[in-house]
This record gives sequence, structure tokens and C-alpha cells, in this order.
Amino acid sequence: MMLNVDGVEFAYRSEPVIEDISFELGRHDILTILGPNGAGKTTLLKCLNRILSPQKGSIYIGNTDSRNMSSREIAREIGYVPQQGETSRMTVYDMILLGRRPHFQWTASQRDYELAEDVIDRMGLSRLALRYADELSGGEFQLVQVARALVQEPGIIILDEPTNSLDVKNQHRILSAIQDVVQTHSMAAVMTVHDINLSLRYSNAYILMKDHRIYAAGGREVITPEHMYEVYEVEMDVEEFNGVPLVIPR
Amino acid sequence: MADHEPVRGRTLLAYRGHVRSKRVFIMMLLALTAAAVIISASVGAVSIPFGQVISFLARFDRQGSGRIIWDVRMPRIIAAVLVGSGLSVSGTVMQSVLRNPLASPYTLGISSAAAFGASFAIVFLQAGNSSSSSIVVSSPHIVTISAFSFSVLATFSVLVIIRYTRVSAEALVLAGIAIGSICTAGLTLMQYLADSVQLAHIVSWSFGDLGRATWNINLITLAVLLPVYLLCFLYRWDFNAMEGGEDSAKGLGIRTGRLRVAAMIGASMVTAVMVSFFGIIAFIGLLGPHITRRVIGSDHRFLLAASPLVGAGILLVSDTAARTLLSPMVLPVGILTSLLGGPLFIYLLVGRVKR
Repeated sequence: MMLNVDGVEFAYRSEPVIEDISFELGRHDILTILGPNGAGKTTLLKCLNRILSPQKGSIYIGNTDSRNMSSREIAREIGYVPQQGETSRMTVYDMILLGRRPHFQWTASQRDYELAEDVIDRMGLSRLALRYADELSGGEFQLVQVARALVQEPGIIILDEPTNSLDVKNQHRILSAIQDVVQTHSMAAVMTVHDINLSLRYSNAYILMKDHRIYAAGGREVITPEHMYEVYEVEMDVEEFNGVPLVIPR
Repeated sequence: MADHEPVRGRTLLAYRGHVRSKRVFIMMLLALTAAAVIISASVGAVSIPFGQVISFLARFDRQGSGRIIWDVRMPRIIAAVLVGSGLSVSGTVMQSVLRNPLASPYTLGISSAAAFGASFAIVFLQAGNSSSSSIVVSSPHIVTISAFSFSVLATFSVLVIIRYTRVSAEALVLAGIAIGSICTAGLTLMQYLADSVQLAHIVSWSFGDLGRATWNINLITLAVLLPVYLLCFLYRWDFNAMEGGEDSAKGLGIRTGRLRVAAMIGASMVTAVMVSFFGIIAFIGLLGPHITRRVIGSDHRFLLAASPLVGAGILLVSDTAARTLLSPMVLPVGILTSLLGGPLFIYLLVGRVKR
């Protein structure tokens, strides 16, 4: 198991945001957390790499209890793409190079620069390498954020709404890039996506969240009209299309 | 997707060229600062040719005109360089850790708090020598420590406001104005309570003036600035990580809370020392970093090297202008930097409102 989450609870000023969350994540898994706004999806993601510290429960990264790991050790295992990264006057190369930060003490080595270059080339960003981040389009910036998480060489990558405000082409570009690295590097990914059909195409495991708790979890079989209605309070049909379930709101 | 098959090493090669141009920029700044020092040392009531200035400086010659250069002009010039770089570095790291382009020692009210602390020490802690007719601070350490204590108090107010209210950049500056006006009220109270010599000293804090510079004061200033600067430079990668926002930095393993408190304390320490010796010099903490960011971007490996030079250059040129423009009258440099910085501040605000 790459990640083992057991009984995790996080409350903000005694107001529970997530309760009793348990699941496991294995190699090659791409797990999507689905649920309405305010269900606690982002909070759950931030608990996984201890950006937020859960008040109850345990999270094992590999075989290590994450409470016994420093924030840098965690950053070497888990790459994180936040929902709203801030742009700045840093070049794309410098931003991606920062993914090496958890791996060096005082300054980046030649190898760090080369790893950054490899990922830049692999993601097709060479053309943008010297562009400032605040001059990029939304899709380009999102790709840069994913690239930075990959340079961390993590086992697990966490993505909070990676396709938010992207056009169809860039949505697929981002998700297929993630699918590709998860397969080729034997990694795992956890993400939140609002577009259920998009997630059905790229992930193999699902958690449905409702009222701060896990309502259902499993493979594609959990995507049923009944579950969808319970979680989103919207009537939906689930049809099969080319072997992939397709959710259509009525 | 990629327009062409990338050649391994080509991206890195282009990047290296890009980095080289930043280094060249920093070298140019160094040369410009050195030139500004020489020009500033040559102009004044007695004008000394550049050639002579260089030779006096190179030989540490204190004979004849050398005395004017070494004992009168250089202490003030070095003070301008130190204060300009110190305020610029403080502004740079504050803007980074607070994720707020409008942050600086002056706009957050930290300078005012330090000025109040200094005047408090003069009036209540007998740190100012009121028996002599000239303005003498008999125990600069007490003045500085008091200035530092109050600036840290202001810094913590800022940190508490951020911690519990998630205010916008503009709202934080408003809070800074509130902190500043509380301190100004305190400063006015000190003026009311002070005797005439203390009063003269306190009033001079409300506008910055480098005329008080001596070699001793410069040495103390350097002793505080240098370690803080080196620490900031050591953590340049962490400041870079902050550029992507708080969560993004945490995801890279940065302990953002610790970095923020440490950087803010370092910056207020530097501010306190500069204010307690030279008074409030406004806007250098905004001008230096913003001009530098425009040219070479926000990579702190270069920003932290270049922004102090830009700050030093601006303050040195301003101070030289302040003491020569209306000669023989010598203006306090704080008036000039406010004239320069005010419009920039408005420009930054307007730019943010437009977005």
C-alpha cells in the first residue's frame, strides 16, 4: 500500500469538516474524490500531506506514520498541486526547479537542474521555460504546477481540481499526462474533479463524499443513479458508452 | 504539445543564458552603486574632482580634502547604502512571506512603531542626554532596544491580524495605517512630555535624516543588517517557494509559519535599528523590491542580491540630491523618498484595483 488512511477527522473551530475517513491507495491507482461543494474534499486532500494536521486518525505513507515524518520528508513522498496556485514573476524553469526543494539542503545541484529540464521537455513546456509564470494562460500554468509536483519525484501525487477552468483540450492533456506518469513510474494519484465523466475516463477508484463523510467507495461500480442522487441530490442516468460509464443528468 | 523534439540540454542551456543576464544586471548595479558613491563623495559645499576622490578613498588618506571625504561625506554615504539596502531587503522578504506586494516596514506601520519606541526611550528611559545643548543620544543601545521592542509589537499585531482574519493586501495596509497612527499619537504625546532638547530629537524622527551618521553608528547598523541579510539569503529557496502561495509552499515541505515569523522579526530588527538612528525613511522598502522585480523577476536568488543595491542606489542618489539641490540648505532625505515613493504606491494600488 502506498497510502493508508484510517479514521481521519479534521475540525475547524470544533466544526467538523471531515469525519471518520478511511481508505487505502495502491500502486497505479488514480483515485477521484467526488462530492458536492463543501463536502470536505479539499480538506481531505490537505490532510493527506499534512498541510492540515488531522485531530484524529492516522495516515501511513508507505509503512511510516506521517506524524513521525518531517514536512520535507512528506514532500519527498507526496507531490501537491493546489486548487489555486498563485502566479508570480518567476520563470517556468525556476518554478519547476522548486519541486527539487524537498531534496536539497541549501542549494540545487546540477542533477536537480537536469531533472527539471527532463520534466519540462517531457511535458512539452520547453518553449515556455523562460516565460514568467504571470504571463501564462490558465492551462499552461496548471501544466507547470503538475510538472513541479512531478519533479519532486513523489510516489503519490495529489491534485485539487487540476482541470478547473480549463478548456476540453487542456483537461484531457493534464489528465492523460497524469495517467501516463502514474503508469510509467508506478505512482498513485488522488484528485478531486467536478466533472464526473472526466474522472470516469481517467481514474479507477472513487470516493463519494457527503456531509463530511465517505458515503461510498470503490471502483466504477459505485457510480450508480442511486448513489449520485444521494450525494448530489440530482437525478442522473448512468449509461455504458464504449465500455465506460457515462453519467447524464436527467 | 511540443513544437519540436526537444534536444537534451537545450532548455538548460537557454536557462543558463537567462541566468547569466541576471548576473550581468547585478554586476551593473554594483558598478552603478560604486559610481554613485564616488560622485556623492565629490559633490557638496567643497567640490572635489573624481580623480582625487578615488585616490583619497583608495589610499585611506585623511589629509586635506581627504578629511572632508572620510570624516564628513563617507559616513553619510555609507549610511545611505546601509539603510537603503536594509529597508529594501526588509521590504523584499515582507512582501514574500506576507504574499502582499504592498508590504514594507513603512506601509505596515513598523517604522512608526520603531520611532515611537525610540522616542519613548529618550523621554522615559533617560536615554537622551538633555543636559547638553546639542542633540546627543547618550545610550544608543537603549534607544535601539526600545525601538526594536515596539517594532516587534507592531509586527506581531500584523501577524495576528493575518492569522485570524485572512485580510486582503489592501486591508492589511489599512491596518498598517491604523498601527502607524496609534504610534504617531504616541510620538505626539512624547513630544508633549519632552523638554526642548528631547523635543528637537523626537521631531527629527518623523522625517528621516542621514545627517546623524557616524562610523560608529554605521558599524552597529552593519552588525545587525549583515547577519539578517545572510540568513535571508540562505533561505532564498524558501522565499521562492512562497511565491506560489501558502499551500503550494507547504506542499514543498516549507514550514511557512516559522519562515514568516522569522523573516518578519529579522525585518523588524533591521527596521528598528535604522529608524532609531536615522528616523523614518519612507517607501525605500517598496521602491527597491518593485523596481528590481520588474527587471529581473521574483527569483530570490537574484532578487535578494539586486534589490538591496537598487535600494542603496536610490537612497544614496536621493540623499546626495537632498544635500546639494538647495545648497547650503540640507534637506532631510525622508522628504525626497516620500516624494518618489508616494506616486509608486498609488501606481501599485491602481494596478491592483484594475485587476
